[in-house]
Amino acid sequence: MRSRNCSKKGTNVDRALYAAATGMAAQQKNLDTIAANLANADVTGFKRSSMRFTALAASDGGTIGVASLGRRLVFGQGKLLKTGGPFDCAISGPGFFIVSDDRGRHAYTRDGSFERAADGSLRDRRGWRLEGVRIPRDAVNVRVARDGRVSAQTTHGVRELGRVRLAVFPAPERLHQIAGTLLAASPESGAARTIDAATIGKPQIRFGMLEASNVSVVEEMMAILGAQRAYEANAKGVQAADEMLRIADNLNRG
Amino acid sequence: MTGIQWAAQAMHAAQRRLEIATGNLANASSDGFARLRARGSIDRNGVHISAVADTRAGALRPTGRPFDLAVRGGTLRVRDAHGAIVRVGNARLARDRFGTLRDPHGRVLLDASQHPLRVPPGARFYSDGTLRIGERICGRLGIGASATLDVGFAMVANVDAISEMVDVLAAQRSFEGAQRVIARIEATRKKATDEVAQLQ
Repeated sequence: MRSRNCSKKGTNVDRALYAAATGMAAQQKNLDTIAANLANADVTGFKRSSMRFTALAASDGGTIGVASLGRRLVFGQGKLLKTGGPFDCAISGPGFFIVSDDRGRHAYTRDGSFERAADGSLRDRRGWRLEGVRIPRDAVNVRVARDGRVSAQTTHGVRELGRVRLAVFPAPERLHQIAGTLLAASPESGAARTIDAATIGKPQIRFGMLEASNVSVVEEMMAILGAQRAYEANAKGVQAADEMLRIADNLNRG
Repeated sequence: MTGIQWAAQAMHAAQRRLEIATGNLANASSDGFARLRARGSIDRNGVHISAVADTRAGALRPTGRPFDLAVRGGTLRVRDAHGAIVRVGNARLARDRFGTLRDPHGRVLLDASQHPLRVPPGARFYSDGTLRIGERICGRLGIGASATLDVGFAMVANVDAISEMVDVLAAQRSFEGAQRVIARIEATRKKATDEVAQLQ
């Protein structure tokens, strides 16, 4: 009788203990992600991410805990805020600004708070250069149209200075986060495809605006409450399993 | 079976109940998870606990992701790595690098004609199961004529933390109770042997 119930899969109490422990670890990771979202709630162009979990199935069809499927970015549109910054841009719709560093590496971002550098390029705060535009020294009154065309008043009259183009990905959720809001292509995300703004799916560039993060503080707080509750419940499970192991141990001592 | 064997059976049953409850609790945050219910039965060989999936639908949670789909009154079709077609009520999909949609288990979403659905950038699902860019229809899911597609929703696990915790406590108490029964039977036997020894 004993052998049929216990021998093949370890004791059930052990399984319960491990299941509850994986539950606690999962909620810990969940909380880490929520905390990172909250911490970046005020960062321009930040996209929240969420953890995903799935049940670990035992060979007999039962559940032996939970496994993490990893963290995924969530690309909901953030609010567009009017800033009036001379080179601020925001994207309304899907797509990313294409930036590169001085070594020629490419990265992609939704943060459009650019500034004019000494060499006439537009750069973000980390010094990454926006592709496709160079602004001459004599240019004033720079404007970016919704389709990405950059124009300015120069000594030769109004001139077009280039075009800001956008990158889209087959699987943007799998982009690799380099630093903050800077993203890089990964094998899972697929290769970048460059598009003109205001064409496919109608992403538009909004000049003089910045995109706020898509983190909703209230929602994240609610998620924290849920994670905390689930953590407590799992801790209770660990306690109960521990207590039962102790009782079973006492059986032998009589 | 003797009393001690019955008590041992009760302890096994309690262990199994604990295992099922903790497995449910661990998956409180796994979207789409269906909780397992412990069902007990008794026969001449003892107590058996089996785990039965509780398929009641969990609540829908808005996620804001364009490819989190839930169907009311119908199903989605996905194909797994072995080519088997599975019907699911909800799926959290993501576009892969080929432009098709896959769920976390790597199963690919099929359209109304059972082919993998290719999703161009900028395309969105509508509640009638069509995939459109602007007004142009570029794909269609076979969800059934009367079904409604909820876009941007995930079904949360149908795990109620409170009732699972009650289950954990109940399992623990019944384990303790059975252990006391064993201890009492042991004490009785010991007493019997001691007194028989004194008679001699």
